Amino acid sequence: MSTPRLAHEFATVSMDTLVHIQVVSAAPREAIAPHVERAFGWFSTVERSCTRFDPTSEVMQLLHHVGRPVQASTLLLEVAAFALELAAQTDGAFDPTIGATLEQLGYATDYRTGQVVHSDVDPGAGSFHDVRLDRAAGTITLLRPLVLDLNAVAKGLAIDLAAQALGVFPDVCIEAGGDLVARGHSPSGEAWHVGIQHPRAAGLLARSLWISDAAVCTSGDYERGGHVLDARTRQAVRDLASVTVIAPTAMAADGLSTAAMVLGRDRGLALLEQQGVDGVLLEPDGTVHLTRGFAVPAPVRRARGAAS
Amino acid sequence: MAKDRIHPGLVALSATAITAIYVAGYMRTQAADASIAAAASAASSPTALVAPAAAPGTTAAPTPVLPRRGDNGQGVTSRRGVPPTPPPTTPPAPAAAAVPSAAQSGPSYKDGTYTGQGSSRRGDVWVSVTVAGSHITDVTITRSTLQYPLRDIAGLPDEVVQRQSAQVDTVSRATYSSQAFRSAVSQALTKAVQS
Repeated sequence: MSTPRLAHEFATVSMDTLVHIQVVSAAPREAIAPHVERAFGWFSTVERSCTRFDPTSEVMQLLHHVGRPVQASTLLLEVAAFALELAAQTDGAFDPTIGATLEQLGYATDYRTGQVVHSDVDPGAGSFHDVRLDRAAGTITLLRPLVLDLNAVAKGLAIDLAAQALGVFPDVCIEAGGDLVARGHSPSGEAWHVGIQHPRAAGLLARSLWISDAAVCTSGDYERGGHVLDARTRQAVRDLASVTVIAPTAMAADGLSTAAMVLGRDRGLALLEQQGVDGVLLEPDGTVHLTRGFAVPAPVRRARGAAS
Repeated sequence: MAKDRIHPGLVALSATAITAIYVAGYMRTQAADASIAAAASAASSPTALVAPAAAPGTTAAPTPVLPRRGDNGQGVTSRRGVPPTPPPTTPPAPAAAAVPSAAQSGPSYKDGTYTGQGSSRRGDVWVSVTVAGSHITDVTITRSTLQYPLRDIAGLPDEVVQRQSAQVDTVSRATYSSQAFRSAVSQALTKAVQS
């Protein structure tokens, strides 16, 4: 390719994080910008349905119809279904119904307004078994008042939808709060270079990856200090400092990194292997554990099962 | 180690979900749609892509309680798609009250013929997608600058009709061609999605 390849960069704030999009293309910025706008639009759409920090969001509106089926958007239905499946596969260690507990612990401030959300929901009661989905009817039913925390799935989904919106561009990187989808090549012509932050030494990379056509998502206690809870005990997990997953979709990488984080090293590794994704699990002292896929020399990572 | 047959693969589940949401989807940014429409009327640059249907209205109005649409037309088995009989509409549950979110509950393709272009590192492909009875009835590759033979992806148009989706499997050893084809069909379908 002889035409110069520039990285056009765009950024916005959504879902309580900085969203950074890079599009490598010979096309002018004006031709690219509308597509990026639509990609950003997906973040707003996901937030509108899934945030627990806004009482008027679709997921929070469910609280007004406890015990009855509610017509849900495809988006909310799929996010909820995925989160519930993660709960089933972790025997409830990961459970999206812990939103009220998170509120109680102080994770309750809407980043846009500064308002603190307070739901009239008993934080100690209920589990993922109290959420019923009817895909045929397109409805969600809460059997009891529950605040669903869908953050572990929603951000990854938003990144995937943004990637779809930019599907016409073969070389893009969409990053939101450390989670990303990288497709094709960076401006240098190589794969995208992704670093995994050391859990305890700021600025130091525990590991770096070369990524082309994959999603990379990290769950950890870096920013919020003990935010990842084992739903069965309602206690912060201590076994691992972070889990980074490489998968074909950010939705899966995001959800599985959180699930593995909650499960701890041994069961977390087992889950990732069973689901056919690769991961880097970091202990608080920086000790690294890897899925078997890393044993295969692969200078550039494409997610297993992805188009490569 | 045998794969756990009870639990579905989460990666596959996510891929299906993303496609369903994207096609059903709803773009909030009306300005973006206007920009794309403006670029389309100029139609000078290959990346000045044509506008999709305008984004639906704001979240202020409560979503009307609609019967659940057929789920993306999955279950279409005929090739060269005869649109399936729409499933009988189930009346909504009495308490399926308006959840004030403007997200659509399903895709609705507007009848017509739509073009799309997909790019890859090994060339571009153009497709024409025909929608009748709100279902994809025909997909044709109209032009190609792909460096690989078109026969590599010759089966993909029929697969789109079968799946009622742009998300066909990548053809082994035809990664770039498949990717460009998927992008082209996605673009065409984006234009077809009704607000």
